[in-house]
Amino acid sequence: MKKYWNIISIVVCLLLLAAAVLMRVCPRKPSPEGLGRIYLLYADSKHIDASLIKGYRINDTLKMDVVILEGIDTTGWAQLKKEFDIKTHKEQECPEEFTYEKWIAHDTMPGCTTFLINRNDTTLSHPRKKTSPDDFSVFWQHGTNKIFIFDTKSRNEQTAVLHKTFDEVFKDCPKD
Amino acid sequence: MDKERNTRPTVDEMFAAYERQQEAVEELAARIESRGGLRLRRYTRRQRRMVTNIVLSVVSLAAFGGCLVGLAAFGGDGIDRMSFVLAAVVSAVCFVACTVLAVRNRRIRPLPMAEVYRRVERQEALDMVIHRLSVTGVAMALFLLVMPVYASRSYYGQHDRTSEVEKIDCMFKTRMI
Repeated sequence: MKKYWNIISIVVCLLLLAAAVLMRVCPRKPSPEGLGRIYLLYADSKHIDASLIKGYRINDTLKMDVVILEGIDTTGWAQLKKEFDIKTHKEQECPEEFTYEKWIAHDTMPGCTTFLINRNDTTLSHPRKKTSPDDFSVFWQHGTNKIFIFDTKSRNEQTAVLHKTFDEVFKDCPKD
Repeated sequence: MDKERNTRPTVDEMFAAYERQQEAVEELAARIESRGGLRLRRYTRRQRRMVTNIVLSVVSLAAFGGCLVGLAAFGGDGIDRMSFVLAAVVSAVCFVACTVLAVRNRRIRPLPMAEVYRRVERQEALDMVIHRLSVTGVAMALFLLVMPVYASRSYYGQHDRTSEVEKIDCMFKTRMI
């Protein structure tokens, strides 16, 4: 056995290397729980581009999974808008404090809107007002066909994601 | 005593015997060569180990390269990062150890036989320890490479992780409406 020790170890190393390469090359699917379920809903869609990023860093102590859904064409974006109940300013009623031109201008301005969706709602049709602490946080970036879904599991995490938005926006501003 | 002294060969006789042996060996070698260029190959344990070490150093260098590529492509922000860094460090150490061992096993020093035996024994004991450690290290580096992939692949989708992370970063830089 001692004689073959080197050969065995080299073979094991090569097998491990081959396994590593195979695992990188072969496509794998995430577990169908949490955000994995949402990703799998859209992964095979021709009109929607879905990505699942694990361990995105929100701050020094918090990392979370994020799903990005992007409508490749108008059909895909219409589907996303319908299923996530996204309405552009043009599609909403103009509040009294805005002029109509200023109100619809928000649709093309760089910015984002956030809301929460139910974690266990498989149909993805969700009343926005009935929120719970473990709801996913959804961000829609205006002027684009992209929505970002964050795997927030508590109110603190929901707040942390919001804080990151403010921190990032004001980071480049002068202190005084 | 006198009888013993008489039977013991003189220095000249010993030298003559040695020369005869040498001639016989050269004759044998010439005969083998003339029979069709047959070359006798006999690897010593040290030579075999040198070959193993060269192979290991190449494997560990490949693992190190894999770690760097992995860090650049997948480990920018994810949970793979620590594993990739650890694997890179381990494989780099293994590469150095294997290369040093390969060079050490190649070296031949003209020394008195007793000194050679003493040194070889000492070096072989040390070499064996480093050799086993380096083999284990290479396996560990590869294991570290495999594990993060198996346990937590950090990106699913058709693009690459870095560009998708940039999209999220870009979203965070826009103001809330």
